[in-house]
Amino acid sequence: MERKEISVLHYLLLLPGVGFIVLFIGSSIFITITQSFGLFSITGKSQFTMENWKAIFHDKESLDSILFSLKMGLLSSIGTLLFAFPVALFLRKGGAGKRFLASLIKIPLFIPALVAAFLIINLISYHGIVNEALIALHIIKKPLRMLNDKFGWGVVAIQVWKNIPFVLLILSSSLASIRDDTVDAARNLGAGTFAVLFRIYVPLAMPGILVSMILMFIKAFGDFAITSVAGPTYPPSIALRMRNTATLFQEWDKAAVLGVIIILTTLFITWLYSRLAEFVTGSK
Amino acid sequence: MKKLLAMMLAMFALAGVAFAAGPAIDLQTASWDQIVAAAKAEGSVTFYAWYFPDYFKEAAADFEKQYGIKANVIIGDQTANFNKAIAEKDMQVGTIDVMIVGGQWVKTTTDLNLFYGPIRNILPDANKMPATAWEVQEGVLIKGYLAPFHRNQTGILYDPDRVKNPPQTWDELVAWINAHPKEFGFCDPSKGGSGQSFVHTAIGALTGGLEKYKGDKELVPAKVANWDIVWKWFNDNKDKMTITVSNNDSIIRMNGGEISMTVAWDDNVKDMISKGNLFKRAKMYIPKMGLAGGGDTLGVLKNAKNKAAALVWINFIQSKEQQLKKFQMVGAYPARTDLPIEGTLLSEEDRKNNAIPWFPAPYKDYMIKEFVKNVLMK
Amino acid sequence: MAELAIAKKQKTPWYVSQARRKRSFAILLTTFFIVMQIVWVGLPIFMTVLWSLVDPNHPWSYPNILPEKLSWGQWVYVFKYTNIIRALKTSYTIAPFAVLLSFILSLPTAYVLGRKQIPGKKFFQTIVLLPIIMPGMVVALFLSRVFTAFGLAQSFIGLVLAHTLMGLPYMIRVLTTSFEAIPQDIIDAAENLGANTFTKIKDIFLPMVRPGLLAGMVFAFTTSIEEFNLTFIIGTPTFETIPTILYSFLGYNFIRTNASVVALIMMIPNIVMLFAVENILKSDYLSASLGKL
Repeated sequence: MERKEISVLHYLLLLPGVGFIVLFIGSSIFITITQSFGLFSITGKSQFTMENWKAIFHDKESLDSILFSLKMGLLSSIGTLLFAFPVALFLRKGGAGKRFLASLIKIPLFIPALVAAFLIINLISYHGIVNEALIALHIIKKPLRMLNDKFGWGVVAIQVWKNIPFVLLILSSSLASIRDDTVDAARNLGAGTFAVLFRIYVPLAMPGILVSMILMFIKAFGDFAITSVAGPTYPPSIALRMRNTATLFQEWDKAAVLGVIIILTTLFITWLYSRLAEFVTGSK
Repeated sequence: MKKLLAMMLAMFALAGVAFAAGPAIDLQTASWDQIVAAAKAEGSVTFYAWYFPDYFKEAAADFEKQYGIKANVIIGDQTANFNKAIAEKDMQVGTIDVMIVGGQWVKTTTDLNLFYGPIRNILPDANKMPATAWEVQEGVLIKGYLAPFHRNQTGILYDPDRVKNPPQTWDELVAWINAHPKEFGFCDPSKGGSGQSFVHTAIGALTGGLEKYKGDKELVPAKVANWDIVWKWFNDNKDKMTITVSNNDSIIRMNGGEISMTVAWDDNVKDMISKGNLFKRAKMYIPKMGLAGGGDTLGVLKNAKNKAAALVWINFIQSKEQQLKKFQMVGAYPARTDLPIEGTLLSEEDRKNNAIPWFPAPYKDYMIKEFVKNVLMK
Repeated sequence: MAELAIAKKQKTPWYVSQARRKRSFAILLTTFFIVMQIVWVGLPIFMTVLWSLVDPNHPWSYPNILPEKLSWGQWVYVFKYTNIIRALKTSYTIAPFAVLLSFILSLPTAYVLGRKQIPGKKFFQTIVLLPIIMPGMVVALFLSRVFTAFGLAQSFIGLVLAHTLMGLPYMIRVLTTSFEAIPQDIIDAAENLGANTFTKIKDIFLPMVRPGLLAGMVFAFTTSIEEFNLTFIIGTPTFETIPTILYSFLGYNFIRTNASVVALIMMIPNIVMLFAVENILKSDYLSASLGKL
């Protein structure tokens, strides 16, 4: 990259994208933070207080929701990566039928999350096709209860199903920038498949991997459509909890605390993933 | 000169009329005819619902034919509708004129003072609806601000092929559940009224009746002290029952053969059957131990642009023809008490004898929160 | 080295037979993946199609593996009683504008974030994610007040801006990655040959970020089509989009048969478009390799 340049021009160029976002969202975020401390309260009486924060930290339900959503975010981002990366590698080189395959794989991208959840629910319901097939094949005697499982595997499965093309698209564009001669040179020097994989592809595709993991985490962490349909009866996702606290119970200040926690958690995980990426590319 | 003066006078008169249509008449004191005239001057009404797209679309067409006022019907989603209404609360003029109000949102919106009223005294057919329906909904005191437009009732829904002796009392139900593990399902009370109804009845059966809560405006802690018996029962029997994620989910799982008995809303069930989402042999009844009912209401938003038209719309929906039509199209039990009804899932006798009212809203709220805390979280 | 050492003694040169084996293996794998994908994606969609064709008078219940009777009843219902056609038009009119606006707004931002070192770069990269971090419904509540204050509620422009806002994070972050990947020596070479800024943009930057750009545009498009929360609050009743109708059958009042119809109506044009666009672009954005330069 180039040497550090502090140029007004650069900040101006940032203005359209960043400025647009700050213009609209900036005040919302600011108000959320202040409301969590009791200021600018919607109910009218504003005073600085740590009450809301204390209340949330003592509130087991909120903590359970945060942990659950965290679990969903991490598992979904890792899961989609594990599925999508090999496919992206495979599709990197053109070939017969690969274009058709690529299009097929992309279909879930165009299916909204809520619809995807219902599609999969259809399949894994008590007498759904998966259960019936397993019974017909004599693998199980009685149908499995796979809906709304306590751990949240249903949610993870749907997230993976829906988002493989999302991650795939980002990874492919990243892999596309890896020069063939780099790979060829490595092979000439005697690198085997695994070496090429871990010392060439992964490090060079790391920006794409990082971006897709971050975006995927945000999606899964903040999800409530899929969780409301396929998630366990308890706990609700943090997004659902925040929404109910705000709109159904009209406890805006507490909801604001949850909002800040969501932002902080996301920032933390983003930082964590970045560190991980640097570790992988740095030491190898 | 005279002609010019005359013309100017005429123009001013016309202008006067045009401007007079601007400031609203006092709806509380005007006669119904004046309100209808004002409504026609307003010209349109925007109505938000979250179910019965078929009925409301036809109702809108009938309304326009009868009054010449355009009805804009938006079928959204329950939560989204209320979020929008709440988001627009502080606007001078909102975009919603009248909306359906139901479920836990009755309490939320009443606490927030979202609606214009009282409207009970304005609507001509008000006395044709049960008096209690104007006073209390979902355990909330609505004081005539919300207009009932249909009644619904929870009952036990079952598959007659698999349930031979439908239980009538709490003990019979418990015996049935023990004999048929996992075949009884109910909806998570934080996600649907049918589940709330079941827990409500359970509380009545296990803690000595629901009469003692009647009339309380606030929660009396002494009266809920022994509710831990209820939570214990649920925890002990959780594994023998199936908890579903919504009112409709209970019905869907019955259709899919996973459960054979559940608690459901009669209008939901009728709707699902008529759309091919539930087998026709399904039967419903209200057991002797009682299950709660209620209804949904229509409310005029405080910052509605077309308040007169909103009131005319409500009156229209409450009219004999529309109530009958609604029942025939979508199986929703009329709010009017002066209509002969045949072909409901729940018999009139059941409704008269076994339907019970909700206990007051503060208890309902507490019940849901405690259920989540004591049963779902464990 | 290991691969080279396995040299079989045979008539055709080892490298030819190895290439042949590799290619047939690749074709086999591709076919396997295609079949798997058809099941993985096709099965859920097939079930949806079935549910959308359930005859209202013949419910589809257990133990039937297939519905008793198929008819267009559910489709007729949706077309008759919802404003689906109008919603389709609205959704598909807003989306292209939102994509275009995202593209214009994100290009300069992604360029700076991808290729320049400025103080606070990490901070800006994170700010860009803000619209999607918080739960949609709550963001919608706040934003609706902002939009109303700006007079953007109940307007087409307002909806385009709202959809752009929700799609920008994806577009910017993905484009940034693409910009990062452009090798510096190509830019230096171009500068040495006297290319001005315009030429650099046209002949180097744009073609080289094409994979990421197309990915970002797909995301911006799907985000716009699927956007519900903010659109419902500031768009209805003047504008109804497909998600409005979808959520009325998929939300609190879930009716599977009608929901299936709306879901298919939403999915099918998208999928058709996907195949058409891929064919037109000849998919070289997926396997465009810089090695070919």
